[in-house]
Amino acid sequence: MGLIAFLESSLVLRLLLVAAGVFIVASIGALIEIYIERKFWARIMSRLGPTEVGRYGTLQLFADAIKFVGKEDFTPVAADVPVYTLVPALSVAFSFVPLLVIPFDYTVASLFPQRFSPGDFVFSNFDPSLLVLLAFFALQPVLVLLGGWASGSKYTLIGGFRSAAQMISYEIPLVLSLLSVVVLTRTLNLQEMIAVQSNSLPFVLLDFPAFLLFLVAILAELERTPFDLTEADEELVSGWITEYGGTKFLLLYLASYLKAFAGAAILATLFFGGWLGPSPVPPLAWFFLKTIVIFTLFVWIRASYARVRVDQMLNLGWKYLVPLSVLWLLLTPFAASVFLGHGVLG
Amino acid sequence: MTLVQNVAILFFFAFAFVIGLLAEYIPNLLVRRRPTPEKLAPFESGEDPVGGARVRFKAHYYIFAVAFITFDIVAVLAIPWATSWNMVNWNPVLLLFVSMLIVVFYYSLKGDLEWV
Repeated sequence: MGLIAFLESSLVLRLLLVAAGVFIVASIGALIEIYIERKFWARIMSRLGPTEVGRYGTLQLFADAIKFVGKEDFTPVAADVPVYTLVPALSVAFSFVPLLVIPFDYTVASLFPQRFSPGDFVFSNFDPSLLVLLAFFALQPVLVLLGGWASGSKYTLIGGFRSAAQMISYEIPLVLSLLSVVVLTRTLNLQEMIAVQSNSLPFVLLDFPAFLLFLVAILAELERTPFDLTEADEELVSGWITEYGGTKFLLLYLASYLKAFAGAAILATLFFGGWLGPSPVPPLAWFFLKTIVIFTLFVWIRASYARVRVDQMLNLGWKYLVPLSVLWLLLTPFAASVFLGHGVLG
Repeated sequence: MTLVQNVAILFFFAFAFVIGLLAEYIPNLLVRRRPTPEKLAPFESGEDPVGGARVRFKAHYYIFAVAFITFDIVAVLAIPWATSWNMVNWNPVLLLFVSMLIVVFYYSLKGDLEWV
């Protein structure tokens, strides 16, 4: 009790505690994701995946991390040194901040009894939290472009250019399909969106077209396989991260999975009711489980579909996703007033 | 309360950034740098690199970039409408969206949205 009072006395201490908590939740999530990515994908392709280190290859990730940290730090001669060095650290930061506005800290705080006033340790409950999330998601491709340009190699540069094209094509459908959910809830606060869903069906049923549009747009935004043109292994070696080695590669790898975790969590929040679920299981477990299941869906998509070409990617973005998301956004208010009239939206 | 959230976002950003920079520095404590010309050359699948990688953007990106900026502004204008659609006048937003569709339709018929 003395410790709690001490922590509550200072804003910085509370922030540090929440930052550490969110980091731990997100890192565990990212580790589970990488394991699923390797093992589940391998099983779909009739391979075994990692088997040697630890039981069922579970410790392979830690072995890889130790190996990466023990590698020599180098900077290519053609690289633009400050930008080249800053991009991995910035990438981790830009992937970590969206996790702050997703209400993981609320689910962690709800594990503690009310008399400790856990509400003081929640920082994700503010009005434009969805906008902050979108802002940090939108900054990611800029880092890809910067990193690709700064590495000074042709493969990385092509990866960066493709990322720029992808960014400007899929940002609009992403925002508009999110706005369709905003029309239903009339708030930009993610916690209030989950509160609306506690009185109604999950939005994956009420707002199914927006779910499909958002799924495609978030796959492009996370650069996952049908849209992983920036890292296309078969054409561009490793795309924009070709020139990054050792710890820098490890950081970029971690950042991409943190970002995927945030993307899956936002999908769970908006369309599957976030932490809502039958009671004996704590909200944190529900939220985590939904996020991991959605990520497994991403891996399944990766295993099932081939990569699109650049022109196909732009066609899909501009000629299908943009008009469809505009049309659905204009139709959503009619659907919403029907739902409100029947009391489905609470 | 909003100030606290803003401080929190900056704080979290700085926290993650500093940890990232520290992690980048760790290998320098463990391993000595042994640079060789081959190691530091740009990777081109084993060939000797030809020319530099500081080239210009393809001009074709321009039309997509302009379209992106206009549509992004429309999307931003739609955010306040989406939070209070049952209290405000729809017509301006409707007009913006319909004009957006017309612009996409016009340019895709004209063939400017084809990748060449």
